Amino acid sequence: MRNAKFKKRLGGDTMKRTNTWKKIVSVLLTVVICITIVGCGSSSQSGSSSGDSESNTVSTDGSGETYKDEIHIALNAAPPTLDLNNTTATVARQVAKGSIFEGLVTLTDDYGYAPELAESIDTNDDYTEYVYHLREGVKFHNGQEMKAEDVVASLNHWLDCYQDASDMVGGARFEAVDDYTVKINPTKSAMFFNELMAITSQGPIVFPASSLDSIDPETGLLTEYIGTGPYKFEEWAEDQYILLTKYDEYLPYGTQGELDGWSGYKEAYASKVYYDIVPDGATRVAGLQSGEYDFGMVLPNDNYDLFSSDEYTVYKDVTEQPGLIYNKKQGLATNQTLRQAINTALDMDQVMQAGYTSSDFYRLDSSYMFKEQASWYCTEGSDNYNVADTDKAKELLKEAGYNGETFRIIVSSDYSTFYNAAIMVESQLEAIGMDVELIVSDWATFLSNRADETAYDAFITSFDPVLTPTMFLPLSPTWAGWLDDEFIISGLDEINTATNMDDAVAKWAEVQKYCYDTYMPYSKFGDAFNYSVAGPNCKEVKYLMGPCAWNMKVVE
Amino acid sequence: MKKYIIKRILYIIPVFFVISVVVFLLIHLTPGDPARIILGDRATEAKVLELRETMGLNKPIVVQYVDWICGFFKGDWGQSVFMKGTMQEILLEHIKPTVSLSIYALLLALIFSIPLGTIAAKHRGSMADHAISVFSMFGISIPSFLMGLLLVLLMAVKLNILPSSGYKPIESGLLLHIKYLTLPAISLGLMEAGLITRMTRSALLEVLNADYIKMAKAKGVHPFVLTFKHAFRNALLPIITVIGYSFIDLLSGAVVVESIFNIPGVGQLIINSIVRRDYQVIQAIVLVIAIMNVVINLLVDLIYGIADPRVRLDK
Repeated sequence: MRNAKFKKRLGGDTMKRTNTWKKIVSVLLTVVICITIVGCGSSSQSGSSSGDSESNTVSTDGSGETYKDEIHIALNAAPPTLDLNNTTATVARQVAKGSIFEGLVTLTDDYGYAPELAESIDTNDDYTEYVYHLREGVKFHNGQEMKAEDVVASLNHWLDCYQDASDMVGGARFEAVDDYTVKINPTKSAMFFNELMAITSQGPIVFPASSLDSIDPETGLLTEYIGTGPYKFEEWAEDQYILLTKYDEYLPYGTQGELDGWSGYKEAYASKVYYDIVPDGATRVAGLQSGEYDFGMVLPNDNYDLFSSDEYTVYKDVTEQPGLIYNKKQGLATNQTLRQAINTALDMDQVMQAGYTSSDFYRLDSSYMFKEQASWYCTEGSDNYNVADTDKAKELLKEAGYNGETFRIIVSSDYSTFYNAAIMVESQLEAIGMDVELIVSDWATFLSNRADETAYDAFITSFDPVLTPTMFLPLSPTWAGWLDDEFIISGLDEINTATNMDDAVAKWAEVQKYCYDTYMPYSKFGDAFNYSVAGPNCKEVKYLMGPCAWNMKVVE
Repeated sequence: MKKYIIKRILYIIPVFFVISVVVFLLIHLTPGDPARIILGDRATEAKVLELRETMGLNKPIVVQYVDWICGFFKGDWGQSVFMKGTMQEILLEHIKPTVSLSIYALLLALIFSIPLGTIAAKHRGSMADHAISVFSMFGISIPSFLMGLLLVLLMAVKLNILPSSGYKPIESGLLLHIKYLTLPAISLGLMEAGLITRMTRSALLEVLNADYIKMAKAKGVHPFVLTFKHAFRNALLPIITVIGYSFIDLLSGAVVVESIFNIPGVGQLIINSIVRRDYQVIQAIVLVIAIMNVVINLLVDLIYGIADPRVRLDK
């Protein structure tokens, strides 16, 4: 009996503890489930995820449509800095140029230039004087009015940062004539100075003279980004986003509704623009499809078909021309005949297909200047482009005295297009009997190797469109590749100092022909496109080498 | 116990020095430098050299190391070339998302793995046991990036229930914070769940076969009490070990998952820093992770003592 009671009490105590434990576990599980459901449920209430933050609707164009107040553009890389004077990174320009910073002139749709902060420009006949009459009443983001002293300070800083610009004007400097006029007197004819100022990369920007005090002594870069554009720099959350906010005191120019390239009447429909930093291509694609991003930059070629429906708008841009640049300073490629042999062997269609997967993303074209740049486009020398003649290549190789030495090509694995093209180049050169070594590394190591003339015989990279042939890097004696041909150097100098366009264009045709027929500094593969996509709600996106945040309307 | 803790903390010092030298040499002897990355592809050699001089990259490597290590002890952990703020601020900004993600992933893993492992152990050989084994193998086998991509496709693109990517800090609201971390946490947590489930099952199986468990069963102890009070507590040690290592693994930065979901955590930071040769950041992260590793291992050892009083750490 006592045992039975003992057992019953023991069992009863055990039962009580068990019931208590069960209650605790049940409560905990319920709480966890509730949190998960509420957390998930809150997304469906707000619709797309980009609507989680504040999103007041605004209608500014009188059409009755309401637009999102906050837009998200997915960038494919993080800019190293927004100091455009000191970086050639495309993403830096895409974020800051035209939105935060403006220049005296800017780029038009036909790759020409148009006045922006300058109201008008006077030039003398021999291009040794440029006078810029500034627009009055333009305010910087700090509320200060833009005056000549600010323009002079900004542009002279640009000349200090950009050697090519300083060379073009022969060391001349900007001066203030009065509060709203600046001028520069190049020491030699500089017909393409305005084109240089409108360039896409490392172009001049105007900021308050006081911004020069913000330059970091360690890096030499601006640390405050104050411009005159329709958007002002608000915040940079590292590796997350760059936030621009509408500048209410922006002074537009031109005719409302008219844009020509990056110039024209700019309006900021959204009060916040988030440039989300999304390096992974698949993430950008998924984000665009789910509505997380309104615009996705540089999407993977393999996903092109996902955006073939009408709800998306695809922007295809000719963005680069990849090619094989020879080391003319040291090594095997100093032999001009060898360079001709290699160029003759290459089947550019196969190389471009290897790199860019589909003919939707490339075209074969011999011109160093893009077809879209009508003034400079020419086909001189095209007989020696895409020759793909292995027999002739072998003859030239023999003539060059090639004895089976290893031909070293450096390429970066960070760019799959270049790497894949390099594999094809390697196999084509091996087919004509060359011993080729591909040296593959990450981008930072590639840049380091490229600066060392003993490390390679050729490298693969690509070039953005430039406004004049004199800016074309493979023809620069100071850039990797180390061009050292007197005919080309003097020819480019003649172009730079020409006083009329016809002479300049004629000279360029001669130079390009010489490059293909004789000197062969560079074997161009072709022209490549990339594509970016606007989401279903994006209306009226102005696109020129990247979306323009101004005038972008995203419907709610 | 105190002696043991102090001794373990002191171990950090030699670990710190060895790692500092190794990581410093590895980074600085690797080709490439931040000056070229900042200036871009088109920069002239003269400009690059000028910037290298300004940044002090031309000093002898020993001088650079001494400058850095002395600064480190004075609280100056260096400056990022690409990011603003002190190193501590940068690291803190990036550690927060990783810590949140790690805790969330681990919690999700534990919520499923402990009960599942227990059920599998208790019903060994049954359909439930087999099903749970399949689940745990699935979790261990499937790469987290593949899981992540599938989840994004289903939950974000097709069903639009959860965001595809991005991160909202906790200051934006706890629920929003959790929402953005849910898919990455599931991607990461699945593998940890698989591991912990298997460890729980095997640890419990060993204990459930012990004589004292059979005695308690014979005495009529309720199965729930038998499992969770008697058996589970004794099986905890190996489970705690796995949980500890899982946490360290998660904190070191789930690079691929952070990349897919665009979470600005430690993993992304270290990859970006390596790509652009942000030396000071790489050095600081590696040191911090090494120290965290040592500290978490210490905590795991201390937890052993709490979970099992028979463990004497100071012997």
